[in-house]
This record gives sequence, structure tokens and C-alpha cells, in this order.
Amino acid sequence: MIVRLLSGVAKRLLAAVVVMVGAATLAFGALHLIPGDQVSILLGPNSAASPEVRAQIRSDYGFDRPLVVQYAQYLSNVVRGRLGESYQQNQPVSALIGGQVWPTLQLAAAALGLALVIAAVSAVATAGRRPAWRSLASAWELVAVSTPAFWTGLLLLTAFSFQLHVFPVAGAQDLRSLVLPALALALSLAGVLGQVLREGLETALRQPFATTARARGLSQLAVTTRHAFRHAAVPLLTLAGWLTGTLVGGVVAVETVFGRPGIGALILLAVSTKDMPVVMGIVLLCGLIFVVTSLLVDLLAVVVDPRLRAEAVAV
Amino acid sequence: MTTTEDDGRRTRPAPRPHPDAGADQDQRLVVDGLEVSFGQRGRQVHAVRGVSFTIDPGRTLALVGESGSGKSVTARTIIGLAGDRANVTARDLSFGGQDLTALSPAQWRAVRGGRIALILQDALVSLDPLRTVRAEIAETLRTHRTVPRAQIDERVHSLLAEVGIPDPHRRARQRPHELSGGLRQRALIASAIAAGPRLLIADEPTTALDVTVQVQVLDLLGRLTDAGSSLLLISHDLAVVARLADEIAVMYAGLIVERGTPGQVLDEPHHPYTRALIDAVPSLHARGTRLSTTAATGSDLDLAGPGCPYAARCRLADDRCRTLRPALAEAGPGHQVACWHPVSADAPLVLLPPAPRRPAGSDVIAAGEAAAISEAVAVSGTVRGDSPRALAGPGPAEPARAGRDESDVLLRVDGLGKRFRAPDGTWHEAARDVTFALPAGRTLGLVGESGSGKTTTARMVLGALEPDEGTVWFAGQRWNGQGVAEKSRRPHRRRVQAVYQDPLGSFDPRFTVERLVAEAVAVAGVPRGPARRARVVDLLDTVGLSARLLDRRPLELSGGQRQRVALARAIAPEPDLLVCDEPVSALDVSIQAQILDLLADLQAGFGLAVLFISHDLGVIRHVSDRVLVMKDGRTVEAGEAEQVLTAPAHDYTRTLLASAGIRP
Amino acid sequence: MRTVDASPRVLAVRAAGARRRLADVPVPVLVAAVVLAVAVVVVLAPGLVAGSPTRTDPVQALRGPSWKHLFGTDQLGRDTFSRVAYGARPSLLLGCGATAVSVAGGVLLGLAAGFSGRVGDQVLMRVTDMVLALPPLLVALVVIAVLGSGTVNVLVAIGVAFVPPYARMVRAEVMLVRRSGYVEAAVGLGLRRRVLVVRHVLPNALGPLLVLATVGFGTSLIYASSLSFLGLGTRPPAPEWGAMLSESRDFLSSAWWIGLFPGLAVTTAVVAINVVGRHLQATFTGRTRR
Repeated sequence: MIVRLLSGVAKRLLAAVVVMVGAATLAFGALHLIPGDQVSILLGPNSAASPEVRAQIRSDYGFDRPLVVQYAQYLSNVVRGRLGESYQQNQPVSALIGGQVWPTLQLAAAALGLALVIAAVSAVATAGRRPAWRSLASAWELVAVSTPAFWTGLLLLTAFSFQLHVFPVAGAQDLRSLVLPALALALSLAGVLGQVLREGLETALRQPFATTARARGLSQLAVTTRHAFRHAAVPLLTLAGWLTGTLVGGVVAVETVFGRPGIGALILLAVSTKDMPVVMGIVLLCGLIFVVTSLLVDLLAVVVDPRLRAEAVAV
Repeated sequence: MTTTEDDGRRTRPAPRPHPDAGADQDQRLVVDGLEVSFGQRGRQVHAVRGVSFTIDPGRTLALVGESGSGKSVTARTIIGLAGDRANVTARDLSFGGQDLTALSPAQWRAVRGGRIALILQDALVSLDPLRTVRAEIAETLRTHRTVPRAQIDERVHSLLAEVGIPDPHRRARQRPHELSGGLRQRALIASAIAAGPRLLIADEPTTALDVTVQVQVLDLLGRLTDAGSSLLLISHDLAVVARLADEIAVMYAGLIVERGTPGQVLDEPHHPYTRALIDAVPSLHARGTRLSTTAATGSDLDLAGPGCPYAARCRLADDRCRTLRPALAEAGPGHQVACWHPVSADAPLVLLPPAPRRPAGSDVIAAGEAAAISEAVAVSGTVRGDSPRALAGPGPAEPARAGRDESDVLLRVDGLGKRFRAPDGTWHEAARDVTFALPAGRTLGLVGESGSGKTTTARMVLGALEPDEGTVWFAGQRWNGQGVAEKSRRPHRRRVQAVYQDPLGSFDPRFTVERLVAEAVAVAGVPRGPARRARVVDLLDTVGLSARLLDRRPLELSGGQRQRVALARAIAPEPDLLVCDEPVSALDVSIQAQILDLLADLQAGFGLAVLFISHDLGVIRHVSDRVLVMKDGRTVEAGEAEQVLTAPAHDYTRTLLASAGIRP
Repeated sequence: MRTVDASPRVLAVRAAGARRRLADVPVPVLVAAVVLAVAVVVVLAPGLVAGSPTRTDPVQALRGPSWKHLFGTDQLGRDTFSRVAYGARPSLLLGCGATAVSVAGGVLLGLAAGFSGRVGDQVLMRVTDMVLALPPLLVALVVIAVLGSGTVNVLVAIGVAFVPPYARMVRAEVMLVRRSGYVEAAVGLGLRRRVLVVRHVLPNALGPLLVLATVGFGTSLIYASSLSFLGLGTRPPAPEWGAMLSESRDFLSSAWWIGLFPGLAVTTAVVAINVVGRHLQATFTGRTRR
């Protein structure tokens, strides 16, 4: 049992390493897929550097070495936590990311938590209830899913900051400035999560064990919260885990709307100036976030559904 | 004796007095004139139409009927769980004097589990699979505050011991999927009786269990009624209820059509439907006799009409049956039947007028369908129908089999073995050293409980699974084994066809019935165009289906119709061997009877060899020339059907026979 | 000998079935279908419903909604309604094109994985998993970093970002169908592998793709507008919904209508697409799945 448990853990870790290597490879590949000369990209379009300077840079950055050597060098740097220097900002990439990552993580975590609460309330209150309530709930979820988060952000900003002056227009100084961006992100997330949760709840409520529980004298609400919720939680967790990854994407536009510092501004600048080391660093960061959340989700899923334990060990 | 008038048509005698009546009168269930319908005006479905009965303390009433008969809806209504969309009315629906139609949600919660409990079919899904047995039982105790919080654990263990679960301390910590089928059904019963309900409603409580376990669970339920609880037992299986019931009520289309003691209903059935149900149980009948006595396939029938709902399927129906619904009337002391033409107990039903009269203006297609079936019977029915072969085992007297050399072995299975890897990484032997031979035109019955390796063997015979060891020989050629390529099998594929338990899964969901059958017809070399279509219609006709179904998709068919389509497709390429894997297990007993009869007709008509796989010894006995009993992947006994089933050599076969209620 | 029953009654039954099916379509789906029909008209011929999207009129700048300007005017006095109408073409075509790229890539990869051997399948699926591990927007940004910004590049970028989910689904469906009872039954009839694949495996495996592609169209639309909003796709002053929203940021305090209507257009279109997609899914599932 212990051996199999360990081998299960080993397989997980191996899968995590594979994803990280994959992300690194993807980033490296992207750098070398860019048409044109590396040095020109590094120097920017308006540079008037002499051929000697260019040659010097080429050898400094190792662009003249074979691709395989460059790749191996890159991987070994990544393993040691060295993500290189930004082309444009003359700073190590790790420092740039480290300086911007916290406001983004804060926003993402707040949005996810808020979304889970909204989804749970909306789904538990309407699952298995009268059709009218259900269609109302699924209508709002549909609209939420279909609305770009940045536009929700614009609307919230117009209403609460410019008209009502309840919340600050921009910045990330305090918790108050977190409310609107988190809400904007959370609404579209809550739509997806709510749909999946209610569907899961209703599937569970149709199962014979729900009837058995009702026949035991439990109320509909008690059956929903004590029995059905746990059954619906596994797909919800899986989805929430995946959404955590995509959140980093949604964050970019919302941060722009609210003028928040964070990864968003960093990557936009990097993409428009082809500052590839920064782009590669952020790709690795997202890979890391994905790996961590997947492990977390798998762990939680086994806690929620003990039947998964055997599979988790075997896979 | 009082009689209640209902709409001036239906009369209902007062409940029969019971010896114990009065002693515990306040715990009596009274159901009088119960009507349950679903849906809105216009599209209303009447599931229960005026059902009345009472159950006295300590007594057991069995409601028997096929799916859709309204028996489960009746049960759910009594415990208030028929659903939001159910419209329930009744003259009287009360338990122990408490009116169940006027309860508030809070009052209902006190009744459910506390005074009336519900036991459902399969504890694997009827107990919350994510919670331990202890949590499930404790929930009942807590909800009804049966015992103080501190004593809950202790009470859980004593309940588990009470329902016969050994080692209750360990079992309480486990979850349903960690228990065997019998143990978890006991755990489910323990959670139902935890708060000491006076009425148990058991809805198909043993249906998901292997026969040997069924008996034990039924005995447990019997013990509970001995202790004073009343039991409402719902089942499709007459054999199950016969074991327990004090009274049996047979339901059809939302009505009780016959009611009496097990002796009266089973031995002297008066209603043609009851009679058909009993006749349809293969284990009660010798090989070679026909099982189905109903005329139509039972679909597209207007059950809600003014007449007897059974009229459309009944051979005795006349104009009165179709226009006026018969009321339950006394047929003997405590024996009631709702029929204008009660069947006399002695008269064999087959001697009664066989062909349904065609009333003017009725649905011509339905009549045509009926005619098609009786024709199919006429073509081949003489072969099996009343053949003297009955119990005498295989006989060369049958025309279809005459001229066949008995030593002409079509299929030979030699030392087949197959191993699978279980999810936990261990190897599991699904089949080991399975050996048998099947001559052309004969039937071999493969019987065993779940996990015995029947289906694995069937898949290897079909060439859908490569065996790890051993060989399948078909018509003298290596058909399946290590190194046999699909390419070499393909030209002969047509000669081996299959019918599965789940025909739906074996149909391409996008295909219509016509395309499904046509694909198989094409394999027999029938050219595209009108010829192929005519052949499809012809085949549908042979299996008793109307050409009206050509455009339907599999999902739009009933279970019986699907299995008929599967048979039509299987015989289309004119095969020599038919492999039937649990072909009737998912069907209601009367539909099962029709399919078995049809299979017999087809086998006789086309001279097919059949490998018939089933868990049901009754079915096996009915169809087989030879029988092979499997357990845990191995053959435990094989031989001529009559010998194996009347003089079993192996203990396991004896246990199977005893559990199935078949006396050797 | 029996004759084939192709009587008028059979035909009548079929016709009645068709009528019933139309009547059974729920009202929201009909509304959504009308919205999409309008969208198609606007994409093909925006001039039919709106005036010029680029004509400036400084006198009329930043006017609120009125009968003359239903959606008001922007800072240059351009009619917002006309701009929203003309914006439908680039916005919807962008979503459509991106979905086409994803579907094409997904089908190719998925079929390759589903039909190649164990090793090929493993390699292809591990690669897809790696891409799937990254947020789609980030993948799109990486592609844009490589290709540069612009409308066509955004289209390709979003298309590439959403290839993995399609590939996964196609592969899973192929696997599911290959193991299904009806393919086993068809093997039992002795059909050749090629016939089997063309007749049973492909149609059943690709059927669910239609549904996913519909929903995916909506998602692509949202991502396209996001990228334009971020200034990476279609640039102002061209009328495109995301670009218009980007412009509106400077006037949130004074002219709410500039930011309201283009966003409303995005949401309405995506809601309509999703409603239709779900209806397709329900119909599809009801017809062929349990």
C-alpha cells in the first residue's frame, strides 16, 4: 500500500515536471520562431548599433551557439531559477515578475473565492426547485458567462466609481480598490461554476440515495447540502482548478481597466516590444500555477470522494 | 360488508377483516381511491387510477406489475415523495389514522423514516456512496432523535448486528462500495428501520442481487414483519413476492386487476394478465412450451381509454372490454378480479380463441401487427409450440433439425483463458480453461452469476476479444486464439451474429431502424434499392415489427422493440450461430416471454445454433439443450440440460437451483 | 410477398413530426436565432441599417442617445449606432475565423491521435496537455509576440490557443466510438475497417464537435474583443467592438453610452450563440445519447 502510494506520488511529480519542461520548451520555441534576427529584436527596431556591437551582443547572449546548446543552457538556467534579463528593462526577469506577481495573485484569489461563494449560493438555492427559479438562475448564469470580464469592469467602474463614487477609480493601494476588479472577474467565473454546480446537484438529487435520504425525513435543503453538494463538488473543484489557470489570462484585461499594477501590464508591454525573456518567464509562471493547482485539486478531490483513492494511487 | 360507489362504475368491497385487527388498529395503512397523475392539462399521464388497499400491522402486501404499471408511484405517494409534478387525490390515504394528504412539509419529515420507511433497489446507489454506513444510519437516528447523541454509535452497531451484518464495528466504518451486494442491502435496511418505523415500503428490494443473496434479504424482511412492522413489497417478480406476501395485488396500467392470497393469485389466477405473467416465467414452464400469451407488443396502446386497459393485449377481449372498464369483483373469499371474462383456473389459456377479433374502425396497423405475429407463430410455431418434445430433451422429431448430423460440431471452444488487470494492479482471471462444443442447430446455455466469466467467454467466441490461451474453432476453422487475425475471420463474420443485453448500445445512434437492418442485409449480398428495402420490411415482419418503425431511431423504441430489431439484424446475414448475451435480462417478464418465443421460432425456422448466456436459470432451462454452469471464470458443471438441472452434480448448481426456486 | 409500406399515412406521420419539432423549439432559441439572423445581415450589408461609421461631426460630439443618434455619438461626433453595426463584421468574422482555425487544427490533431498507435497518441496528447496547461489568453499573447499584432494575427492566435480542447474532444470521441457496442456489432457483420471508420466512427465522433464549435465561437468572440481592447487586434478608429470599448475608457465619467453599446453587442451576440449551441446540444443528446 505504502509502495503504491509512493509510486502514485512519484507519477504525479513526474507529470508536473513534464508540464514544466513543456512550458519551458514552448517558451523557448516561441523565441526562436520569431522571424528575423535575435539581436535586432533585442535592440528594438530603432537601434543604430554598429555591426561590431551587434556581434558582441550575439556572443554575449550565446545566439551564435547551436540551438541545442542554447536550449540546454536555457533549461539549466531555468532549473536554477535564472530566467534571464529583460531585453528592454535591464532587470532580471525574476525580479520583474516578483515585483508584479502579488497584486495579480491577490486579485485572482479574491475573484475565485467570490465566484465560488456566488455560485454555491445561486446553485444551492435553485437546484431541484421550481422551474421558474431555475430558469431565472440559468438565465443570469448565461449572461454572466457571455459577458467579457473587462466590460463588466467598465460598467462597474462607470456606476460605482464615476457615478456613485463608492470605490476608487484606479490603483491597488487597499482592499477597497480590490472589490470592483475582483467582482468583475468573479461574475463571469461564477456563471460557469454555477452552471456546473447546479447540474451536478441536480444529477445527485435524482440519484436513489437522495430519495433514500428524503425518505429518512430530511428536508430538500438538508439533502442538497449534506448529500448532493459533496457529489457535485468534485467536478466543481476540477473546473475551478482549471479556471484558476485561465484567470491569469482574464486578469490582464481587468487590470488594464482598473489601472492596477500586476502581471497584466508587464506582459502587455513585453508582447508589444517582443521582450521575449519576460514572456517566457510568465509562461513558466503560468505553468507553475497550473501544476500547483492541479496537485491541490487532486488532493482535495480524494478528500471529498474517497472512492478516488484507489484510482489516484493506481494512475 | 360495505360497498363504495365510484363514478357508478367501480365497486370496492371493504377490506377483509384480519384476525389481528383491533389489536394494533392505529397502525393500519388505508389507501382508498388513490389517483396520481403527472403533468399539466392536455398532456396528463395517469399513473395510478383509483387504487385501494389496506395493510394491517405485521402483514405484507405485495404490489406486482411490470414497469409503468404504477406500483412504484403508489409506493412513493404513500411516503410523500411522488414529486412536485404529481397531482395526488384520494378518498382516504392515512396511516394509523393520520391523514397523509394533509401533512405540512415538517409533518411529512416526521413521518418519513419515523413511521414509514422506504427501501430502494440497489444499495450501491441508494446509500450515499461518499458516506460511511455509520453516517447513513446515524442520520436517521439524529433526524428523529431516536437515541441520545452519545448512544448513536452504539445503536448503529446494534442495528447492523440486528440485520445480520457480521463484524459491525468494521462494517460501520466502510462505504457502500466496500461491501458486498447482500451486506450493503442489509445496511440500507438498517438505515431504514433505525427510527423504528411501523410500515416498511420495499421497492424491488432484491432485484439487483444475485439469487443466492436474494433469499437471505427476503428472509430478513420477513423477520421484520414478524416483529410487528407492516410491509408493502413492490416487485416485478412473482417468485419473490410469493415467498413473503400475505396478500398479492397485481397492477396493470395504474389499476389493481387482481388481488388475493398468494395461493389464489399464483395457483388460480382469474385475470388474463395475471395468467400471462405467470405463464411468462420460464422457470415455471417446461422447455418447448410457449411463454407469451398476449397478442400485441404492448406499445402505442391507448391505456387511458374508457375500457379495460388490458383489452388491447388480451386474447379474450370483446367490444364490452374496449368500452367499459370492469370493476374489481369478488371471485372467491378474499379473491378479487377486475375482468369481464375471468379465466377459469383449469382451462389452459391456449385453448381459448387464439386470434383477436378485429373490431371495425380500430387501428388497422395494430391489428396487422397482431396478425403478423400470429403468422410468425403459424410458420414455425408447430415446430416448438406444442411439440411432444416438451421435457424429453433434444429430439430428432423436429423438422428443422431433421437431417442434421448430431456430431456436426459447429463451434468448439478449447481451453479458453483470459486475464484482466484490475484497477488496483492485480491480475484477475475472468475465464480459465473453458471448453465446450456446440453442434449446428442446437442451443447451449451458459449460466452463472455476475463475475462468472460468461460475458468474457461470449466475447471471445464472437472474436471481439483475443483469449490469452486456448482456441475457438468455428466450422472446423481456427476462429479465435493467439495469432488469429481479424482479416482471416472477416469473410466468415456473417455466419456468427450476436444479440446483446443492451441492444441500444449496439445500435449506431444516428441510424434509423431501416438503416440498422439494411446494413446487415447488405452483408448477405442483397443489392441496394427496392430489393434491400423489401428484405428489411420482410425481416421486421418476421420479428413481429411493423414497417411503421422503419424511420424510428433506437432511442424512440421500447425495450422489447429494440430487442426485436436486434434479432432482425442478427438473422439478416443468415448466420449459422447466434450468440445471445443476456438478451432478455433488461426486459419485463411478458416482453421477455415474447422475445424468448420469437428466438425459439427463429432458431427453428433458420436452423440456428445458439449460445445462450444468462444469469437466470429459469430462462436457461427453458431454452437450452445443453447447459454449462460457470463460477469465478471456471466451468463447474456441464451436461445435458435435463440432467444438470434435475440431477445436479455440483453443490453450486444445487444452490443456484434452490435460490431460483427450481426444485431439481 | 409483402409490399413495402410507403403509404401516404407514413408520409403524413413524418410531416406531422416535422411540424411538431418546430413548435417544440423553445422561445429563447427562436429569439436567439432571430438575433443571429440580424447579425448575419449586418455583417453582409451594414449599410442597410446604419449610416457612415466614420463621418465626424464635431458639433454633435458626445451627445447622449436620442432619436437622431439611437446610441449617442462619440468624442468626434461619430454615430455610435453606425459604429456598432459596422463593428459587427470584423468582430464576428474574427470570432468565426478563429473558431475555424481551432476546429481544423483540433480535428486534424484529434483524428491523428485517435487513429495512430499508442506511441503517437501519447506524444500528441502530452503536447496538447502542455498547451492546455496554459491559459488560452497567454498562448494567444505568445503567438502575437511571435507574429506581431494585427487583425489576422489575432485571429490565428486565438485559433491556435483553442486547438487543444477540440483535439482532446475529437480524440476522446474517436476512442469512445471505437470501443462502442455498435462498432463491435459492425465488426461482427464483417465490415472492412475503412467502411467502419467512414460510416460509424467519423460521423459519431465529429457530431459533438458542432456543439462545441458553436459554444467555442462565443468564447472566441470574447477573446477577440479582449485582445482588441488591449490594443493588439484591430486598432481604432476602425469600428470594432473591442477597439470601441478601448476608446470609451477615456469617457467613462462623461459619456457612458460609448462604452455601453459595443459591450452590449458582444454580450447579446455571445448569449444568442450560446442559446443556440445549448439547444443544438440538447437536440443532439436527446436524439443519439442516453
